Amino acid sequence: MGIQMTSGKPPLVPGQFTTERDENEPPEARADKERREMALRQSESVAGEGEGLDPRLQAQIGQKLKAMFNEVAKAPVPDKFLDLLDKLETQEKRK
Amino acid sequence: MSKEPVKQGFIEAIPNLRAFAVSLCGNLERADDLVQETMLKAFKNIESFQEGTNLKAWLFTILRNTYFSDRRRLKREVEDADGIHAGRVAVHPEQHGHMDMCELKDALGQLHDDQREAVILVCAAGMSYEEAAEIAGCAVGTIKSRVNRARAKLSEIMCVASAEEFGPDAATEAILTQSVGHVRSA
Repeated sequence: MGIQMTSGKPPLVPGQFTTERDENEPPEARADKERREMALRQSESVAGEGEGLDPRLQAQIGQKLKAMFNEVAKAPVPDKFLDLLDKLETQEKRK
Repeated sequence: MSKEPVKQGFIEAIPNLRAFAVSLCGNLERADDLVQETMLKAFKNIESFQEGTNLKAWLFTILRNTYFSDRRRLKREVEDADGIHAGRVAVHPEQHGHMDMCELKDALGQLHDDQREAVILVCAAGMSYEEAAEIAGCAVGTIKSRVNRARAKLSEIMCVASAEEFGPDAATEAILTQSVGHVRSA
């Protein structure tokens, strides 16, 4: 047994969905339901190793993270920080 | 007298420190408080900074230590107050209703603290694995696996939202690669 596995949860086995099947349900809707079920089960078990991710998705996540970071990193520094540094420096000199 | 270049280094580091803090805590106001606290601590402990070493990494370390110790204290207080684990509340939202509108910040908030930190340092701040390991105080291999886990988790949370930007077919495909692809190879 994987050490990382959340205890008590069954491992991912194809074809063993807990979603109840309705005979009249259109196949697309059922496939969709199954996909969501799988995604949920995966997220509940091991978080995965990040390898084998869709590279486009991975690139997108990287871009978003960088954009989020740069939005703040490229913004002008508020004066309060410069004031604080000046204050700290003056205190230091008085010592 | 050697304070002058250090002070210049502080000024240069502020934009990155703010960005790091916002990414960690998701709130600009709190982030600025963290940066301010970091400045105060850094000035107070300037003697422990070894000149010629990485000032930015040193400041990042002070900031993340401040953030995580505040967080641990807060968690303890919440636990003491009503027995609820503060982290759990944020970690287990309703997966499905949440998925479509999930933005990056929400998704980051759902990660474990150490995974969030790792992915921010490496993927957002553009640090090397070595620098990130130094800041987080762990092995390089640990950082790598945290980044991988964080990426996998983020893609799970955001896969619908982000893949939709490629159109509905891409969205389906992304989900297929994520889950059904798994079935086929199992």
